[in-house]
Amino acid sequence: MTEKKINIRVPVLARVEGEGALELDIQNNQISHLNLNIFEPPRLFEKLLEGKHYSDVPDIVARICGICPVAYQMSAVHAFESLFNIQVSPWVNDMRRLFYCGEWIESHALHIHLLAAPDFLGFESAPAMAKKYPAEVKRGVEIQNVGNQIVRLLGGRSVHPIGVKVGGFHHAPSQDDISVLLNTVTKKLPDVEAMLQWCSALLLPDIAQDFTSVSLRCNTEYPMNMGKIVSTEGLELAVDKYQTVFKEHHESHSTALYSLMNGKPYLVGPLARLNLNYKKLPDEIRQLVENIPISFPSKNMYHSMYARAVEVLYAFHESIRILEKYTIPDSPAVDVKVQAGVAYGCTEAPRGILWHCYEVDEDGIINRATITPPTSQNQARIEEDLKSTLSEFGLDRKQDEIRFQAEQIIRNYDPCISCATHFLDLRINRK
Amino acid sequence: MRKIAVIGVGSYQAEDQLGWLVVDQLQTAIYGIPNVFFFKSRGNGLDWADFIKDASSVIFVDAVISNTQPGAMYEINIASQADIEKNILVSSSHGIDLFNNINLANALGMIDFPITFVGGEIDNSECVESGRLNVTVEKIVSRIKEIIEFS
Repeated sequence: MTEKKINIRVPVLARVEGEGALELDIQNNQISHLNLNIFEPPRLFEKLLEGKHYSDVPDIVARICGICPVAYQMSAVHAFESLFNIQVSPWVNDMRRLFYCGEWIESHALHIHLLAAPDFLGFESAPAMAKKYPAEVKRGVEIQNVGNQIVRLLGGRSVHPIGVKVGGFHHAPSQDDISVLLNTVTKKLPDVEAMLQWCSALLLPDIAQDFTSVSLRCNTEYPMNMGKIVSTEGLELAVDKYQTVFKEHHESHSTALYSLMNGKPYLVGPLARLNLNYKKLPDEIRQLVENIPISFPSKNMYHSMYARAVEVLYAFHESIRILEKYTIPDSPAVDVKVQAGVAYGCTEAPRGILWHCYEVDEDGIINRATITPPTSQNQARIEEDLKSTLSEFGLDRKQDEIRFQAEQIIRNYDPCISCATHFLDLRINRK
Repeated sequence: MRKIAVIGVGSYQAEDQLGWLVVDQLQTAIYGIPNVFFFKSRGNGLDWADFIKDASSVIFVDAVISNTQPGAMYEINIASQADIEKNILVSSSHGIDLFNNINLANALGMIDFPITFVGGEIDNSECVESGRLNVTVEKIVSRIKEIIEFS
């Protein structure tokens, strides 16, 4: 038997947020070992939160991620409000929805144009793609900027916002600021519709896979802040029962925990949301979607990119709806009365459900915190996808081709591994 | 009058504040010069693109982590696409680094050369300040004052 070991290091940005590595052993043209290593720092934030007052939590957890801080804030405030039996006003619910729209827009627009599209158009990077498709990339940057403006309006700043508190917001935007934003969002809507058409015309690989989609589902709206946890396997679970079905465990090759549903991988994120909530989209968006040759539910993971585009369009429509009916509230927040107990919250981050659990004492001090981010939940699914898709792609191909294909598969999940410089270090061991 | 745009890239985290601190100090140090404008960027994509639209001279300031001596100052004159590409990944403490964003802006026709980059090597961007940050900031402020005076 001959053994051939090849180490490939890719010292350039690979359009994955965070540092990752892939170990791949191929024996007799079969994958014998595959590990997606994530060097995501341990969730020290959970320990950091112990001893902190509940009111400090929204600003602390916002620091976990520069891309989806709103999601961390929303899961936290919903958890505490559920424990404290707080009913926020319809104004607060609307503003939280608007806030989330901003985050979905900025995160999805970034991924579509700068991280994923170069893969499907044959470019190694967004700047390379921008030379041939300047209008499309510029449009993506401008759409992302609209999301930033929404987050800034309610959060005070677009990264690590500070406008949120348990019970509502620290301030209510002025009518003038709302009018300016409404004008901006409305003007940009045709570009978003064009983006949807553009995404649908991209040549995406036609590969169907079996996987279980998991998301929130709410009777009254497309899920962001509220709802039960549901799956395509028929699961329907209250947020506080999450740990009865979903278990996290540690794998020695990864600093991120793996989350499994009844011991099996599952998918969270935009494709899972659309697979489970397509009918919750407004008619006008569904009509646009039904005019193109991609339908939901979909078993093609590459349709994730298109699902993001649909959600950007939805977020624009939803933002306009909320902004048009905006009125200044009597108060941007309701009073809070602390109760001891266990607080559970789950909302839909751009990359999927983000589950929080806090043990709180009678003074509002956090004794224990557990946070399960979407990337931990998708990690096992990504490995499953890599095994399946790479085998179909052909394991006898050149290492560069395998590496690129593997990176493309991973990027498709838009994993938020960390906010650091990132590369995929692929090690193939052929026997 | 020629607009000189100074963009400090930074965040609130420890020594990653460098770009913002330089902007703060420069605003005081050169108070009264009407054609110099300042912008604090979070390194969030091309958030500075609109700001530089009508500028004839652009200076970026950012923290650098390249595992050399903390306090070291870097000055890079970017006069071409090649100058951008050879500095990608050696520049910024931010995830998607500043030179990638400059590269993207150039591809989109949003910038005109030349551009000046002034960076300061920091200890870390996450937790604590080393105590050397103020010295580095002062050095960079002094250098940018010279650049402005000669431009």
